[in-house]
Formats: sequence, C-alpha cells, structure tokens
Amino acid sequence: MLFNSIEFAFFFPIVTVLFFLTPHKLRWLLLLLSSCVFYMYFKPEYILILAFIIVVDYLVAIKIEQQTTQRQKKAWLIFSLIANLGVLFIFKYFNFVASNFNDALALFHSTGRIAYINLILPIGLSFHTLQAMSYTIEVSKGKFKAERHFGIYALYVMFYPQLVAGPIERPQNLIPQFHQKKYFNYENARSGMVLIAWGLIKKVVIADRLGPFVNQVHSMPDGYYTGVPLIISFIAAPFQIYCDFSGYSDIATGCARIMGYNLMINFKTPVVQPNLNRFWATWHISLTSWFRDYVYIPLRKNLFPKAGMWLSIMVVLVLSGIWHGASWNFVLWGISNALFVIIYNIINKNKRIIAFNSHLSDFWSNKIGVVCIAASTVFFRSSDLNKALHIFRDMFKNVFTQILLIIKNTHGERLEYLYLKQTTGSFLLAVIFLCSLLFMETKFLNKNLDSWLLAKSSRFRWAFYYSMILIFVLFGQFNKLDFIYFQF
Amino acid sequence: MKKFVQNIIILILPFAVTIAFVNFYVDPDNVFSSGDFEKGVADILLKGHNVDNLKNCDERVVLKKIITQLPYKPDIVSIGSSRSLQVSSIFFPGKRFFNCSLSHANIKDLIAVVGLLDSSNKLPNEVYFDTSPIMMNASNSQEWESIYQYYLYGLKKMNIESNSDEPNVAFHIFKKKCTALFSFSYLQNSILRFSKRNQNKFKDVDTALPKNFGRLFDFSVAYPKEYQNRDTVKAMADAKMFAAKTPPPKINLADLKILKQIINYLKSKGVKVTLVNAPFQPDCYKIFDEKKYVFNDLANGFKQFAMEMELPLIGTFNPADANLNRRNFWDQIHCDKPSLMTVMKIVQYNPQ
Repeated sequence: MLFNSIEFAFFFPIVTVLFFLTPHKLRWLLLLLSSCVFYMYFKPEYILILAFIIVVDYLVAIKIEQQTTQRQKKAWLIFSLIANLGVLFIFKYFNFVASNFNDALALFHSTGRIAYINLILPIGLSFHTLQAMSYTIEVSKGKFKAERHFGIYALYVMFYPQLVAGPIERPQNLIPQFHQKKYFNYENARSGMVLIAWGLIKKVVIADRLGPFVNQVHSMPDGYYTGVPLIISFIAAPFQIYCDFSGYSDIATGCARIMGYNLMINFKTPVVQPNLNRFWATWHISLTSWFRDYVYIPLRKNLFPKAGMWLSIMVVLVLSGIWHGASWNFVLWGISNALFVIIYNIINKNKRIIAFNSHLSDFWSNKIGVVCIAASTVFFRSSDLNKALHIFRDMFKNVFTQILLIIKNTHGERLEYLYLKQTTGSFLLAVIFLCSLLFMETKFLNKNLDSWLLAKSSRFRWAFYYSMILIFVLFGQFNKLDFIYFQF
Repeated sequence: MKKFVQNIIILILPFAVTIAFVNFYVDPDNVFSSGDFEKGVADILLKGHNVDNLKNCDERVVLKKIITQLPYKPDIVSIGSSRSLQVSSIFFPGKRFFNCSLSHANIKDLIAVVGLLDSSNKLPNEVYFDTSPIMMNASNSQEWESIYQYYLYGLKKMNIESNSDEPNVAFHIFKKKCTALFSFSYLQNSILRFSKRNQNKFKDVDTALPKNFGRLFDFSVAYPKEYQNRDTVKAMADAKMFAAKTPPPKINLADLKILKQIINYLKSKGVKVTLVNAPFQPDCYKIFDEKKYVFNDLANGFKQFAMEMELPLIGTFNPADANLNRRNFWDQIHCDKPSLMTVMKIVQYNPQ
C-alpha cells in the first residue's frame, strides 16, 4: 500500500481509531495484523519470507542470551547473520553474482554457466533485514535483552509505518515502546499530522513534479538526449530522491507519532548542510548510523586500527551502495561518494587552499557538495552502468547550440530541450517548488518544522496548515508514483 | 481526542465541500452531466454539420446518441481505435459511410459498438475493422462503460462468454462519480477548465473544416491545424518515447477469439467484413528492433487470421510498403489522411 494512495487514506485513520479503542494488551495484535494487511497488499506470498526471518531471529536471540561463553554467542549470531543475509543474497544478489561469474567464465572461453533464478525482490527486504540484524547484534553484545513476546518482536520487524522503507530502527528504541501503554496525546497527534502533511507535500508536490524531468531522460534509449536535458535531469535527480525518500520517512514518522511511537528522524535538512561530512551525517540517518555502528566502528577498531579511516569510509560507502542495489552502478555510486568524502576531508585539512574565510568556505563547500552528490546520483538513478556513463559523456554535448535554439525557439526547442516535453507551467512550478524547498530547509537548519511552527502564533499556525492543504490539493501530482526507495 | 477530531474536521471540511462543489459545478470531463453536452454535439452531427473545438467529450455517448437517431442505415462503417478515426466518406465515394471508431478502444468497445449498431437496426453492408495491436492487447481501459448496455446486448447476441465485469459496471460508474467529486486532479482540471471556459465551447461550423480538434458529420476526426503541420522532429521524439515505453505489440488470444465471434456474427447477418492494418511511425520500428520485438510475427498472425476467416485484409504494418516516411506521421501511431488512404489501397489478402 502506498502512503500516497487513496487506500492508505482509509487504512491509516481506521487503524489509528481502532488502536486507541483496543485495550493495551491486544494492541500489538491489532498493529501486527494491520502490518500484515499493509505488507500483503504488495505481494501476499512474500510475507512468508518475512515470517522466516522473524522466527529465526526471535529464536536465535533467545539462544544467544542463554549461552554462557562469547564464542557460543558469536556462533549463534553468525547463524542469524547467515540466515538474514542468505535470504537477501538469494533474492537480491544471486543473479548479479551469477551474471558476473558467467561473464568471467566467458572471458576464459568456458562453456559453463550458472543458471539465473527468476524471483522478484520482496518489497523492503533490504530494510527489514538490517533491522532484524541489528536486533540479534545488540542482543549478542548484551546491550539488549532478547524479547520473549513473539508478537512484540514480530511487530518490531513488521511495524507498518516503517516496514518497507525505514527508518531502520534499533531494538532499544522501538521494542520498549511497544510494551508501554499509549494514550492519545493531542500534541503528538498534531505534530504527527504536520509531519504527514509535510511528507506528502515533499513527495506529491515536489518529488513527483521533478520526477518527469528525471524519468524522461532515464526512460529514453542511450544517446537520445544530449546537453541541456541531461543537465536538467542531473540537477533535478538528487532533489527528487531527497523529497521522495524524506517525504516517505516523514509520513512514516508522523503516522507512528500519532499513535504515540517515536521513530528515528531519518533526515535533518541534508541538502542545505555546509559540507559533505555534514551531508552524510544528516542523510538517511538510520542507515548511515547502522553502517557506522555495525561496520565502520568494528572495521576501525579491529581491521584497520591505524591509518584505516579512508579505507573504512570506502568499505562502508561501497557496502551501502551494494545494499541499495545489485548492479555495478550502485558499486560506483558508493565508490564515487567515498572518493568525494575522502577528497573533501583531505582538502579541508588544508583549508587555506580552498578559501580565505570560513563563510565563503561553507558556501562553496555546500555547492561543491551538491554537485558531487548530483554526480553520484547519476549512478544511483541509472538503470545500468552504460546508461550512467552515457549521461556523463553526453552531458556537455551540443549545450551551446541547444541554448541558442532554446532562446530562438523556432520549432518548439524550448519544449524539447528545456521543458523535457512538460508544459511551461510544469517547468516553472518545478523551479518554484525547488527554490521554496531550499528556503524552507534553510529555515529548518538545526531545528525541525514542528518546533519552528510551535514558536509561531496560533493564527499563523492555522494559516500555515490551510496553506499546506491548499498547496497539496492545487499543485500535487496525483498519478500515484511509487516511492523510489521501495525498490530496495 | 475530541478536540483533535474537531480541529481535523475544521481543517478538512471547507476543502472537501469546496472541492466537491467546484468539481460538480465545472465538471470538466462531463462525469456528472446526464449527457446534455454530448447531446448538443450529437445534434449538430445529426444535422450533417461538422463540429469544432471538441474537448473532454465522451465520444461513446455521442456515438450512442447519433447511432440511435441516425435517419439512415450506413453502407459502410469503420470500427476501431483512434488509428482508424480519420477514415471518412471521401475514402468511399458514392457510399454512405459512418465512422464508429473510438479513442482508446479495446475489445469491449468493439462488442459494444456492434451491439449498438445491431440493436438500433443500423448494421451496415460492410465493416472495416482496424486491427491495431494496441486495441487487441487486453487493454484495461474502462471507457466502454459509457455504453455498457450495448456491451451487454452484444455479449448476449454474439454468444460471447461474459466475465465478472458486468455486475460491477453500475458500481464502477458510481465509483467514478464519487472519485471525481473529491478528486484533487479533477479539481485541478476543473480550475483549468473554468479559467478557459470561454474557449471551451464546441461550435457548429456547418460544412467548414474544423480549425481545432473536431468531428466531421460522418464522425471521422478532424485534427487541429498545428497538429497536422506538426514538426517531424517532435513526431520522431514522440515515436521513440512511445516505442521505448510500449510493451511488445502482440495479439491477446482471448481478444482474438472474441473478434472471431464478432466477425462470425456480422457475417451471419450478411455484413461483409474487411480487416485493416495501419503502420506505426517508422522510428518506432528502430526501437522495436532494438528491443527485439518481431513485428513480422504480428503481421503474419493477422494475415493467418484473415485467411482462416476468409476475410479480405488490407493495409500494412510496414510503413515502407506504402512508401511512407516520418514526414507522413503526426505522431507515433497516427499518419495523415492521404497516407492512410494509400495504406488502405494495399491488399494483403483477398479470398475471392
């Protein structure tokens, strides 16, 4: 079920009202059943995979806790990790590995082939695998007690607001909340609604309005577009992804908050952060912190204790790339991001090279950072590596000729090259909403929308709520585009 | 909780009421009108005049109103999708021709149109069936619901196995109205329509050719001047995009079985049936080739079907057969009228 669908508009209020009408003892059951309905709306049979992961990790965590030696705990943890990663490997990475293996065999003129398996990736598998893994890891470290209530544990993995695209929660944050009795709280409900509205605006008004400018380029055959259209798509793509994904996270957090559950904040205005380090500290926080805690820190501590920071960053970002998708463009996405971060940090150590005062440095760091992110996004959005390389190759081809043609506009070149077949109005609205987003994000730097609103008068708040609805209704794109991160 | 619910109602209610009012009052796609708009259009066409500036009109309702009131029985009728909407009286000199093709038509539309002609006692002597792969590809278009009574009539008369759609038609129409009443995108269309309300009225242009999008007296389509003089580069771009996004053009076997039943019924009523193939814009084929779509299979499939049914098959899927190039096309699927005339002169198979 999509958050921006009519079905969810009925599903969510019904579940929420039932939640508050249900006695506390049975709420886990209501939420679990609702989560099953929510998940099964996509592809019902895949709930069995989720059930497998849940049962394995539930039992393994109890086993881990019962072991007396670290060695035994580690063995059970490895078993759990293999089970989780094994499922992920079969559904997400098997064909990628097989295809590369087959290519390698072909290089050596071998006739042997690994057969491909025809499976559709279960929606959100990468997300709930990480969430399930963090549970057994935390239990094995002794930082969290294994949950004995099977229903509560299943709900931890399946809680519908964050089931398919995060935020990737930690057991310490979420499981205790399911044991607490929740009462309806006006402030929670109000701020939850504000978050949902803001998320919907980011998704439906901004991301889906920018979408056609990006999708148009990526849906056409290689070499079809050159120059200006590619540059427009290059600029629009990172903002589209940001609004799409952070919009989803805001809606998820808002839905949970109305019921009294606090989910991790996944984005803290990353696009207006002054540099790449801050960008990665505020972008998809639940994933970056997962990799920080479970990959980066152990790597630095154990494998690369000395001069290993750059190598650890590279490993983490490449793994993060592979986590997103099983193809070489995601590997390159990770490598390029790691290289940008490493280069930025090396230069930043010698600040005098790049700037003569800190303000200018922050300003240019942000702009350069945005360009770097946009460049790596080309790998992220492209269907394959060839497509990405074509975009880089053709991006500056014919630019000046096209600009002259756009200015003259004798045969509708403005429509073809600048508006990418959208209307003038759509193009202008996309630009206006993109600028408004940057303005609002700058306003919320170091604070959130709700605290900013709470500091205003009641009249202002009401005017703001009405404006949000008006903008949503008048300028939303209601063609039910999927959330980009659903593919992971 | 009471205060929260109250505030939500205060927030949402004014919007809901305004949206419902605007959508119902402006009604850009004539969802709530009882066909008055379409009746106005049908009345002009029934007078034998052309209509100009036709937007957001339910052409199925217009067709229903015309066919049921048409004072004569046509000699020749063309049935198909928008690809055959340009077939007009000048293609058949000396004959009374009527075009019953519909935009976005699918197999259910074909059943409904034949049902409409039959129930109104207007079955012609000859029918030209457009055999577009787009139309014969199990399309999910629900537009046929506007003439669903004739669809049901057609199913019964032609002994076509019904599926579960029928009992749901009334519900679908009700759902469509409810959705339109509170739809945000319908509101956006309503506002656009209202802001251009003076430009949106259809016009009776008598025998003059429409300048904008319109219909001729025989219900064939008239495209706007700017579309007819469309830049070839734009048509090429549209063609490439269409081909890149289109799934492999193939014939759905269930649809083909129904077409067979329709044709057999028409034959039993003494109607001569001719199948027509029409080409796509040449650039589409380059992309189809890249995507390894074998168009010859499709063409051969239709030829085999024509031979099996002993029906004449005219036209071609291959633009080169009719010496057409990208300049003869306005977009990915529609060629100009003279080109369509040339295409329809090609005889692929004639059983006599």
